[in-house]
Order: sequence, then C-alpha cells, then structure tokens
Amino acid sequence: MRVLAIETSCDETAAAVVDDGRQVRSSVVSSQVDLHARFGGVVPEVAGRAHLELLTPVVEEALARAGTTGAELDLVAATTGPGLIGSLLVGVSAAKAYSLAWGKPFVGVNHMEGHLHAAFLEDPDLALPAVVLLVSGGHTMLIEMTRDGRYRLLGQTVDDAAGEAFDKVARFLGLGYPGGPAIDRVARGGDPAAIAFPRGLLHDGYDFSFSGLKTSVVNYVRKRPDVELADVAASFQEAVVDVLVRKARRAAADVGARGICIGGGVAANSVLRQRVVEVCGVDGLAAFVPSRAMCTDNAAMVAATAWYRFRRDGATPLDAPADPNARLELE
Amino acid sequence: MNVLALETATPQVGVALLGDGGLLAADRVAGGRRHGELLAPMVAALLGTAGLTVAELAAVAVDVGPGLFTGLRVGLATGQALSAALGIPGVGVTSLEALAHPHRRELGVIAAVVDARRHEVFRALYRGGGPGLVELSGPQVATPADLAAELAGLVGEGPVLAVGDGARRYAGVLAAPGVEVGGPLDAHPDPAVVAELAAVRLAGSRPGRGEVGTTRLVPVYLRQADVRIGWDRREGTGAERGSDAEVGSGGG
Ligand SMILES: [Zn+2]
Repeated sequence: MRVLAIETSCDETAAAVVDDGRQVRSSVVSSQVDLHARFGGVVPEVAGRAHLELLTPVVEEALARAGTTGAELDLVAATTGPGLIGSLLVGVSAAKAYSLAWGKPFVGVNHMEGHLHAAFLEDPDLALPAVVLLVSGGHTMLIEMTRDGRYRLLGQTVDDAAGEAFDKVARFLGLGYPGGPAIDRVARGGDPAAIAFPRGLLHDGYDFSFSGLKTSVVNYVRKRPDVELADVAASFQEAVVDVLVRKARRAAADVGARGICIGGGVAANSVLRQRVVEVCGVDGLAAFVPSRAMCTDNAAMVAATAWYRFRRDGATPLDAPADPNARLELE
Repeated sequence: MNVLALETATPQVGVALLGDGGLLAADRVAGGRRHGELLAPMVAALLGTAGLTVAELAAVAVDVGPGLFTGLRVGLATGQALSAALGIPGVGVTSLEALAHPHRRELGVIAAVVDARRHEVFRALYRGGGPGLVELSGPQVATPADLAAELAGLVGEGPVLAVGDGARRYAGVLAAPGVEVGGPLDAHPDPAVVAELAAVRLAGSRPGRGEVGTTRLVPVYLRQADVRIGWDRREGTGAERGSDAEVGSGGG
C-alpha cells in the first residue's frame, strides 16, 4: 500500500512516499529555519506563507523522487495536529484536495504519533514494550509503547518543552537560532561538570520541568558575565540530558521495557544520543536511536502512521478539522 | 469547459461550478473559522450536484484575496493541489474585483472594500458603465477615514457605490451625499463571479480595458507578516501558555 504524506505542522514543509508503512521511497523536507532565524523562533504568519509557496513543489519532488504518480497511490495523508493552525491548514487542505483529485482516501495523522512511528521506519524489529522519549521545541513526553503497539503517557513537561529551553538559553547566550544545534556545537568545547545547574523534578515521578533551569542559567551568567560560554552551554546541556535519560531509564525499569527509543528534534542532540546508547548498554536494553533526519519533523513518519491508522480505523472524513491542540490518543 | 471556483478569503466559504451553458451549481455558507473543514466536502458535493467528475474540470479559479490570511490559504492550497494533480490551469481572481464585477454596468465609481480588521480595509476603485470594469486604483490597505475622504473626492465624477463587508462595517464613516453603501448581498465575493472572471480570462477575451487581477494562484496579502503575533505550540496539555515568547520554538 503506497502512501503520500504531507507534514506542515511547524517550520518544515515536508512530503514523503512510503510503501506499506516501512519502505521509504522518498522523503523531502524543505526547512524554513533560515526564514525564522532572524526572529529567534518560528513566526506563525511567516511559516504559513512559506508553507503555501513550498508545498506544491515539495509534493511534486516527493512523487518524482519516488518514481510514482498520483494514480499509483493508495492513500493521501497529512498531519492534522498538534501544531500551528495556519501551517497545519495548508498541508491538510492540500492533502484533501489531492485526495479528491486522485480519488484516494484521506487519512489525518497526529504529529506526535508520527514521531512515535519514526523509529519503526528504521528499525522494524523494535522490541516492545519500549519507553519512548519524545523531545522537541513543542513537546517533552515520556511514553510507554505496550506490546500491542498502544501508548501510555508516563510523564510530560509541566512548563517549557526541552527544545524550548534550548532555544531560550541559546537566545540568551547570543548563540542564535535554532538553539539545539547551536548549544550542541558550543558545548563540545566546554566542561559539562563546570556548573551544577538544577535538575528539575529529578526524583518526582516522570514529569519534567525546565523553566527553573533556564532561569538558573540566566541568573548565573548575569552574576558572572565573564564565565566561559562553552562551560555554560555544556553544563546546561548536561542538566537537560541527565534528567531526560535518568527518567527514561527509571521508567524502562519500572514498566519492564525491552528498550528505550528517542524522537523529536532534541533527539538529534549528540550527547543525548550517546547517553541513551550508553545506559541501554549498561542496563541490557535495546537503544532505538533514529537517524537525525528521522528525529526532526518529516513526512515519512506521517506516512508510516497513516498506513497503520488506515488499517486500524479506516479513512478520515474530508470535514475533519486541523487541531492545533490535538492530543496523542493514549490508553 | 467546466471551471471550479473556490472562495475562502472572507468569513464565508463559497464554491461554484461554471459550465459552457452557464452556472451548473454553487454553494455559499458562513465559514467562521471553519474554512478547512468545509471546503473539501463542499467541492465534493458540488461535483455530485452537477453530475461531474474531477476529470471533467478544465480549470480551478480561486479568490486569492486580499482578505483573511488563514482562510485564503485554505482556498489557495486547495486550488494549487487540484491544479497540480489534475494538470489544469489555476486562475487567481482578487476578492475586490469579484466584489465589484456584478456592478460593472452601473455608471460611476465602484469601490470594493474588504474588512481588513484592526480598523483598516483592503480596497480598490473601479469605473463602471461599460462591458467590463476599468481599474482606477488597485488593491491597497486604507483606514476607513482615508477611504471616506477619497470617495468624497470622487463624487464629482458621478455616483459612488461602495460594496463589501468593509463598506458595510464602516458604512457610517463612508456614507455621504453621492456615496452609497451596498447591501448584505454584496458583502462577500460571489464564487460564481470568481468562476466567471476566470472563464473570461481563460477564453482569452478581455472584458474591457483595464482588466485586473492575477492569473496565477498567488496570494494577495497586502500586508507584511505580523511578527509580533506569537503562538506557542505546546502539545498534549491543551493548556494555555503564559509564555513571554513572541514566537514559538521549532525543532521537530
Ligand atoms: Zn515534531
């Protein structure tokens, strides 16, 4: 079954063609990051305009690279939420129109469920149950994926998302946008043990808190303006990764998981990736660390999810709304 | 030649299907903020009513604005995808010419005025009285007071008719001796008119000197993107954010 999927929930305009939820024939991602960099974050109206300009060419490119046509597709899918409403609507409207034009069913996909499925695209043998850590600019969630592929939310952030903390701290340190890669880069020359930044909610359940950490970095640098930036970046990054990995590890032990999986833009962070592999080695767990391209927003993960959803729930009606606050369906 | 027209640049969602012999079917509903939910099913229903398949469409016409940004992008994304998937031309028609076109035979000045929110309007001025409109002044943003002064200055050249939801909203500001404000039927562009203007353009026959509008599916925003408006995409919690951020975080 061949699926064309569209992803426009935030600042990446993406389209992909995936066969049977597994075989990626093409995955095209046109990033708007340069457009938003001068504002220090994603500007909704700028994103909406860019998606409209880029989407049709990106879809054409995805079809061409996949060597296929609309007539050969079985499904047309799009991310319906969560995300920026003006951005979501561009992709959802286009997908519905392609569905009408080619006479193929439409399937709406939850963006977070897409991230959960990303790991399966690269590792079809992913052993369940697994603990999945979803971390990006908009989300920080710890999820148990059960043996039958259902999801259970174990914990989430009570304030800032992990990626949001990276963006805000990078902005404060003058490292530019996006903050994740900037801090990752600068931190390489620093000492992660130089400053003991607080680990929010470290011993309290599975929820996360990053706003106190951000404030602590700001206060520390204001008091010591000549501190080595690389040490600040490395110590901040260490505090985030430490909390994420410790909680994921504890959750894996508690639920009897066979592996730990990471996803979302922050899962592209080099220290987080390395640490997950290390602790899984120690604990005898499988580490599922998707490629960086599959961690950040892409449409292949949306196509894989659509294939799974279509077999389980059938097509999505054409009057389905885009929902900026869509929740992940958890059991 | 069957032309499908989409109109989502205003608070309404409108669709129309124009055939060789005239209008085959049309539908208009108050869209509110539900353009994305309403448009595709309305297109499907319209084709059903007319007994046509998508393969029988020769072109897709879209109201490209100016108007509500999120709404007009629903129409444009739909129109661009239909055009690309079916291999048929997409024809852009501005909301302002669509508003003015039904009055083209009336003598005097027709002012098309769309509510731009924030105490401003999108407006264009045309001269009527012929087979087609002549553009006097193209689409621009204006304050109601500036537009009122502009219209009052044109009264010497004949009667002035102001149509559109912007004209109706600011009727108290715009109305003056010689300046008439159109009724509720003229509040939003008629999708059948969008189809008609597109068909004329496609046939290559010009409705008259001063033909206006774009012929590609390119949005007419008339305003720079507002970078102050922020929207934090917190997921899963459904909670309102008390964030100081003017912009959302990106990164997957
Ligand atoms: Zn994401």
